[in-house]
Amino acid sequence: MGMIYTKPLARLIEEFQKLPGIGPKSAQRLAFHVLKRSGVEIQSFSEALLEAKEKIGTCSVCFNLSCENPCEICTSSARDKTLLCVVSDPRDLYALERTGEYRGLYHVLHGLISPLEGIGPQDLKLSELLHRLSSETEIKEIILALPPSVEGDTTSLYLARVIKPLGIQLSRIAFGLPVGGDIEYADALTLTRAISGRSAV
Amino acid sequence: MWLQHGEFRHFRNYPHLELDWAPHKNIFLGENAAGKTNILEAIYFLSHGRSHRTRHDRELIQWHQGVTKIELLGQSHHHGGSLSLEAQLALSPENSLKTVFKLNGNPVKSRSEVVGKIPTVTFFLSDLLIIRGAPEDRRSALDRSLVQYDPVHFKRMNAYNRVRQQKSQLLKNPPYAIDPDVLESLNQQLVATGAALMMARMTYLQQIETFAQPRYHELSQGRENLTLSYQPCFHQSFDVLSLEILQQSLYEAIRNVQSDELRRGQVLVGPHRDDVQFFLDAHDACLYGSQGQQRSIVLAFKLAEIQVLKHRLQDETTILLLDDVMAELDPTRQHQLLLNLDPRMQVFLTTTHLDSGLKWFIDQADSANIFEVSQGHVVREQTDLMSVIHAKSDER
Repeated sequence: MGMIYTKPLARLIEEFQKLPGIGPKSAQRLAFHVLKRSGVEIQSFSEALLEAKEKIGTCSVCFNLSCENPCEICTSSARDKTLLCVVSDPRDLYALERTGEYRGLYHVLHGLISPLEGIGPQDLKLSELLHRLSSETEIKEIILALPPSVEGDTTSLYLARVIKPLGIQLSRIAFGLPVGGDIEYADALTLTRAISGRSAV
Repeated sequence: MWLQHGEFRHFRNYPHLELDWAPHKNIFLGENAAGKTNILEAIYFLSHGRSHRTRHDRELIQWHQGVTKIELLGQSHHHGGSLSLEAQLALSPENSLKTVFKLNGNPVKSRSEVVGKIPTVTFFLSDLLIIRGAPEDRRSALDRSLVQYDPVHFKRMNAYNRVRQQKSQLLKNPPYAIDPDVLESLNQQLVATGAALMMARMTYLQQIETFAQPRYHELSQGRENLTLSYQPCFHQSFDVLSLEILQQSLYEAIRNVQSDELRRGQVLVGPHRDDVQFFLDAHDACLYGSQGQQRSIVLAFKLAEIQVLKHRLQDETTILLLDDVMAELDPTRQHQLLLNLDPRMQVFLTTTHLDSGLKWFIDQADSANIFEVSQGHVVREQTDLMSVIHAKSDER
């Protein structure tokens, strides 16, 4: 490859190729795109990369990504401080934020319990969660927003075991049919879950 | 359902193969190791979402090739609509395998979505292991057959196996002391997914038994009665089926072996250790049955499978895959099998030679194709062989 491309170009292509989902062809396309842009644009792009890496850290309270510590959500006075939502990944937090419906606080675990991947409770932000529950006495209710997978279920059951003795109200988000979906096309396992998680009308 | 057309590219020993099938009987004739079973395997692969011969999809790819394609085109007996199923297996330059399934041209998210779309009942030599094999063979035979009746079973098995693997890893190789709360969380899930799996197997086995009993009665000329029983690894068989009772007993059984499991680092209790028992009157047929009795049981089981599946499909028919089993059955049992088949049912059959029983079978069919298979080549026999068969049957 170094034989064809001039050195800085080869390096640029190689760097792009390290990104997830980028193969050799896409990497070449992106590199040639970079060369076509003006110097100012590329300056701004590279600054954005460096700035993001430098300034973004995790909030020491909820472990969301933020450049403030504690983060904007934890310090906001508009937030309901009696409600705490537990998610596994910051991306799940953003998905919930986009709904605009949830106004409580968050706690990001950064993973799920999975012995197959060597991840146990001590590898997650779990002791930090328990510490929060004992120090932030305003928290009255916890919502678990963990995925409906074996690992999500294990982590939810685990959290139920360690949180229930604290006497805090605990629930898990409902699983079932997608909005706008057809019941007849739903698979039986999803329907079973939807029936067992039914709610009164 | 019947299959009209199949096309394979770089599949096993076939560089490229295109076949048009007869709506009723399709016979693949050839020497051993000619590639007859590979054709049935391709149909099985799209019917079950996996091969019956290997767990590793990459073995289906022809030697030194990188991309395999299997395409089947079928037609419904019920409403006449067509169905196309396709599997594409591709090896990346990094040697990782990507398998994509397509249903009517559209890629599906998970292979569970194609399972049972082409409903098949198989009768392979390995099915004789239902009796002769280990408990593992009986479980997998039951699961394979159940998946065709109730495709959701595929997901049920995956869910249970994932939990079992997680628990097994936790017990086997803890990088830290085992957290009792993690173990308990996994046990609760093992109970939920395990009891659902057991319940499905037990209910299905009861249905099979209902249809297998009269068949066996005929085969043995009323000499003895066949009963089937699902045998959980921790309990005598349950008389009454109830999910609550199953969950409760499974949970208790897990509690009882907890210290053993921790000591041995193994998951000791669950449906991955259950068994199926076959009784002739009061005798365990796996232990005391003669060769002939055992063959009759397998045959009765297979005929029951066809009938149970017919119940689910209503107006649709199943496809029957018979791989070299005729040689294992004596003329009486061959006749029983062939006689009991719905004449509308499409049959794919491999054999090394055409004996009189098979010739009779072909002659009965409304349509039949005979394919001569040798070393990666498949040639459809034209009228010659058929006319020979017809001439012979006229003499009779």
